[in-house]
Amino acid sequence: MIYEQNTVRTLYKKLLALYPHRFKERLGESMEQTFNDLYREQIRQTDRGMFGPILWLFFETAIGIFRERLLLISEGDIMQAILINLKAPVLISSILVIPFMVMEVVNRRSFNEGFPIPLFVFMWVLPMLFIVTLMPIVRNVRTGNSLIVRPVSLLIRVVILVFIAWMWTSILIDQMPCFLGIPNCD
Amino acid sequence: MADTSSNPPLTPAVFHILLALSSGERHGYGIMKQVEADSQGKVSMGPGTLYGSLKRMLDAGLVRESDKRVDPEMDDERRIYYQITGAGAEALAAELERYKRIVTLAQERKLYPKTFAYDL
Repeated sequence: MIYEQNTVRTLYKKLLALYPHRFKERLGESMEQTFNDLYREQIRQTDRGMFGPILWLFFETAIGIFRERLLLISEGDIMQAILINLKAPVLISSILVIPFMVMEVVNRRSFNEGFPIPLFVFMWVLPMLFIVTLMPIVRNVRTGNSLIVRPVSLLIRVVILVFIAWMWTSILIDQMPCFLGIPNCD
Repeated sequence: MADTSSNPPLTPAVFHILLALSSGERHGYGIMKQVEADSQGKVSMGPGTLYGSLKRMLDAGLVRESDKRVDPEMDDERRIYYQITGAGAEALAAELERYKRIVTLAQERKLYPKTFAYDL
């Protein structure tokens, strides 16, 4: 019985962990206490059956979590965080691509060709993805956290980083003659 | 008379919480039980609704965390009690004023049987 009670409380605690961080910090403990009070009340009234009411508490809390998450998105906190986090990658990607765009315009103006917009968009997106993938690793190093705490995640990130770097370098090597203005480079 | 123009209508959850806190400071479970008692068991609030509303009420300054801490031997000393603020009392009064006007209007239009009308 005690084991069962502890399991239910632990499960509810895990459910509360899904609330947005600020909400959890402020009200998480109170919610846990209220759940314990309600759970104790249900134990006292076991003749009415415990499963239904406890399940309802979990369900009602899950709806509350969904509502808070939705409110967080609508308030723009997440969008703001995404925009702030994307500022640096956008800037660095632009700095990397703009020189090649200038080379393309200057060196190929005499060839009467259309400007290869898809190529530059692709060349601009790749470094952005590279930085976005790299950012959590850098953040962990800065905060002094060990990188090998999540080895699978780290490995996946490294593989993605290598793939993006290889792709971008390949495109650059392939297109460099065109950027330099060599005729019939493609 | 409470100013209804500066106090927007309250959601049912916020109204019931303010009503529960109007008679004294309470913790989460205490608020739930008071809401149940006030509504003769017709309104039952779960923790998700209660704490979601409380968060917004704390942000809006309608309620605040109380300094009240009960005897730790009788209760968990970490338990947080909530109390209604001046703004909360004003918002509750404005909502009750709105209810009163609606009941008066219903009586005037004979939608509300006189025999069952409360003494307004």
